[in-house]
Amino acid sequence: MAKYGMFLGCTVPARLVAYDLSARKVLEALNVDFKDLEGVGCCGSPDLASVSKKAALVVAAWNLALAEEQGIEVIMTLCNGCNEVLARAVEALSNPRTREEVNAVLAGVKRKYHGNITVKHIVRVLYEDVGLEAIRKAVVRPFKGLKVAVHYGCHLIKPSEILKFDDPNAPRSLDDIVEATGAISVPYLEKLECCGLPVLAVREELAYSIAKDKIRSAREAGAEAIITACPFCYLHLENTQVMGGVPEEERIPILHFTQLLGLAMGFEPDDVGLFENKIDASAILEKL
Amino acid sequence: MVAEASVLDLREADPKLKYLVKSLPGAERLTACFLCFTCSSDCPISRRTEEFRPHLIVRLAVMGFKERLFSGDMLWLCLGCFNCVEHCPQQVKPTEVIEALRNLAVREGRYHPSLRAKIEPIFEFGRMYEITEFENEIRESYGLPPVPGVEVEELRAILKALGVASLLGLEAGGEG
Repeated sequence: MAKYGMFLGCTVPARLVAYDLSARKVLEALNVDFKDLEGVGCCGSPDLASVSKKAALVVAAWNLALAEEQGIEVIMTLCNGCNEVLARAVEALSNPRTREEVNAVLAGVKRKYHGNITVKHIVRVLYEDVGLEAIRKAVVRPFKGLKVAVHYGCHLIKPSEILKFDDPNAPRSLDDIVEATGAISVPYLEKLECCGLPVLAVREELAYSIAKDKIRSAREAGAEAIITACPFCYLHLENTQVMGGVPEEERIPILHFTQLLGLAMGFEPDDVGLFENKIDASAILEKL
Repeated sequence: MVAEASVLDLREADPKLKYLVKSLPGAERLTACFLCFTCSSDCPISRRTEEFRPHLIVRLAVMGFKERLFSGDMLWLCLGCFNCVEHCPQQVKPTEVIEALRNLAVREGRYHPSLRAKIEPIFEFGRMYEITEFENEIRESYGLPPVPGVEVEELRAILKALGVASLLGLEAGGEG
């Protein structure tokens, strides 16, 4: 029985082959025992929580119940959004009364959540369970002198009261993983800022301006790439440049952290889906 | 927008709104706000537009100015980044308060049109995007396993049972 259940979410399977591909390559090479969760759907997204906090909780609980039935201990997410929504539900459902209320709704679809699931983002699995030592050992082809800007994304570390992972004001986890590849994580002013995506459909220019400020800040710090751990952040930081009017000479490639890690672990660019990155990232290969 | 807010008529306020907001999970400490503005000074949206100030939203909710809160896009400009939640000295959790207000606004049929557009595919396909044979063929060509199917009937039943489908008017067109 696999320990980890891979929760793909919505955006990764529909739009980001590269994140999926590179994550699996890295996880398999590091002997993480995982399998894909069956039957699960939308995590209970922040959008759903905007309609009804209770509905988001019950949908999240339904996903947890499915994972539990499949003998999983830890749900592993690739998406910061799924991470926050599912972890929030685990926390809320640790209260027996809330669990009873939610299970009363789940009974309508013959599911029940017993309270035995832990939720971890893939960054957390690699950082806490696999460990930096094992990651460093697996890096057979380190980057030399490559400067990157690490972007955590909000729902990997916040709200800290729920996620209880890393320091939301001075996080290290993703920096440490990135630096295990030999790359240098440069400090930059807007490092902990949101990517801006959530308001894209309400105020497009506002969503772009937040991302543009972040991208400029990373470039001014000398970064040759921005490293993400969330499909939404990845897409927004990339699309802002491609569609939001950033001149080609000012663009900076966005990479999933698993792509950077995979390359340093000896995988080829195609193995980690580098063909999918809309902003050409081939220059970083020269620093391997 | 903010300039217009300078005159508020208390006769238009619903003093019970705060109790309704506080009854929703996460928003319990609404009335603990002492207007220090930490939330607004730490907000990526507030830094860029006058339309949105978390402390103002909290204050309008405490006083019960529902109409001001529910009209326009104000409630829908929150990123949900939780900066304010991390730094509020009173643990008011403005992000959660705004989410609670969104729930109440939706109950009255007042929400940004993009919300329905985002939920509709979840009701129909179980995910924000439909996964078809096409996506799975692409995956297969890269050696990726097919995406496991969603138990979409169950998800739909839950969304119906909790009123999400009827709140957003999804049931008529959403039957698969």
